[in-house]
Amino acid sequence: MEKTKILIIEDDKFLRELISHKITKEGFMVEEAADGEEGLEKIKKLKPNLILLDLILPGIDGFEVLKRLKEDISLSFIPVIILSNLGQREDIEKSLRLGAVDFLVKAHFTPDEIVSKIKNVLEKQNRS
Amino acid sequence: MPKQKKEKNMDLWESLPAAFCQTDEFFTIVKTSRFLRLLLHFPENKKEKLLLKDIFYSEEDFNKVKKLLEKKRTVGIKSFLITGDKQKIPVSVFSQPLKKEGEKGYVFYFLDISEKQKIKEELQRKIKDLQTFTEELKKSRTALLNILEDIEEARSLAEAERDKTVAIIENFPEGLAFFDSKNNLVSLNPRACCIISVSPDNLLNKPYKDIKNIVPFNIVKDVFSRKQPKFFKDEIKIDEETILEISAIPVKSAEEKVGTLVVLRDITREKIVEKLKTEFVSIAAHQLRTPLSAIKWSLKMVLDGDLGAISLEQRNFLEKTYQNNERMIRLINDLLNVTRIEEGRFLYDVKECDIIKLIEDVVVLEKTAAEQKKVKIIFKKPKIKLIKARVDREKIFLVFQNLIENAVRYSLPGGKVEVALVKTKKRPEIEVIVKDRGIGIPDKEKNRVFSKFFRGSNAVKTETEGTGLGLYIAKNIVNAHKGKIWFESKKNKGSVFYVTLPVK
Repeated sequence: MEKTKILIIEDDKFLRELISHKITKEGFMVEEAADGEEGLEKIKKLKPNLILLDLILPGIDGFEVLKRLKEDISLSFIPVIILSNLGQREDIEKSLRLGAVDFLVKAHFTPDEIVSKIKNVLEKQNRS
Repeated sequence: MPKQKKEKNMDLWESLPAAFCQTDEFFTIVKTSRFLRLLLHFPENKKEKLLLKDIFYSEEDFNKVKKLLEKKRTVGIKSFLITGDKQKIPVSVFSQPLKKEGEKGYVFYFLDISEKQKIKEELQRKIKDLQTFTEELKKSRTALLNILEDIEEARSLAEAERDKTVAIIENFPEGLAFFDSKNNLVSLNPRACCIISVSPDNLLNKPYKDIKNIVPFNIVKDVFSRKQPKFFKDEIKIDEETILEISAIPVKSAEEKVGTLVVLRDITREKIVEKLKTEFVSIAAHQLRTPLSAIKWSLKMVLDGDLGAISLEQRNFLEKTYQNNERMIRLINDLLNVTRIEEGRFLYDVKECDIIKLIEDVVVLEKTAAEQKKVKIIFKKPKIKLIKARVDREKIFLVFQNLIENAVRYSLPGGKVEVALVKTKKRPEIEVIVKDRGIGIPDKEKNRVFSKFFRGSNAVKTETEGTGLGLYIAKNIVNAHKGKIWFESKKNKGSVFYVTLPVK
């Protein structure tokens, strides 16, 4: 069976590599992008099963990426989990309105917890 | 003298209505006119010789006359005659030596000036009265002038004061609107007109009820109600760019209501500065979270064994590091919350919420941490099945979470935390009570409990992890909801925290 593809769009190298390492260990296939443009390109190319998306990015921000993603019918079905250190209620609500499936504050979740969340979302996705 | 002529002369003496007489050179009266005799009330048949001096009231006057006549001078003086019945008659005395061949003597003519005198006296009296009256008038005039002067002075002073006051009001950097005791708008200074963009002509002298729909006067209507008016202050956004702070104060003068003063402050700039400050803190906090996340994740991964096995000693050490990092993350959360509270008195999302469910959710969240410490949380639900209030759910959640967290944290192992929710009958409000039997708050420190970064001395010893911001944030949230928060506590016995929220 094909490995599940996860795309991480995160501009901080250390964090990106850490989470990448963890998710790979769990048996997923992981692709990385360091900014929004690169992220969108890789989404089109890779068509991942799930996207971990940071909001503060150089160039276009996470909200813009999310918007464009959902506007593309061929890509809009891909579940997006926001992984950000913003945590204001406005940001959460905006993300959910734009179509994100969950919002996790990086500082509040351990890598294990993030993996759990990913598994939950994929499970729900597979069931529907 | 021929008898005819003598008779003619006799006639004159008898018939002329004039009082005259003739004396000899020794001033003995030899002839009198009938009129004189009548004037002096002489009895008709008086035969004795009369001396001139006898008919003069004043001997001095007689002597005066005598001297003048003896010097061959004519006399014309005023004097008094005395009548037979001792009355005094004012007369003019005219006299001169007799001009007759062979006879020596004097002729006297007495003109009764009593009428004249009476009139003269009357006149003098009237003149005196007039003078007195004039004096009185003069005095009154002086007094009036003095009063006028005083009044002028007082008026000048009052005008100067008024000018000063008007100048102050006109130039006051805040908007001022003054309503008189009948609630008519009597004064609106230029700054106020500028702030609310109205021309004063449209509003001046109108009663409050006519302008109460004009923003921002609409929000001060409670101050104009007949109930006991109190000081009122609030903030209102009047358009996209302007935020006003409006206060209304009843003005009293010796317990009498003189009017109402409304002060308008444009606080747009202050709000912008506040916002920038908050944004700055917000951005800084988020930036800080990034390295903290990195530390958290990497430590966790080492602790999870993802980088290989670690010794027990290494584990313990790294656990402590991890906990400290968690502490920093919590502190940043609290700081962010604080700035959010200070960001605005506007609550973000006020809705009708089920308070019972809210508290239940908090209890569920805190149960795990409580169980680890072997502390029980008991929520005593109210008899009413549903209690609703208009609140910002997320923020009120923080309040209850903080109170219950504290209660658990500062309880002793095996302790109990009781939470109750009551709907008070007397006032339209709900009361939440969180009670613990933990370490309590020392008396000396009670007044600082709600201040930023404060932690009780005994709390710091028991639990190193608190940030000191929880109650500060809680108080700000409760105040923003127009509620109240307070506590009772005794060191080593426990604490009870109360929160009331209005349910309009």
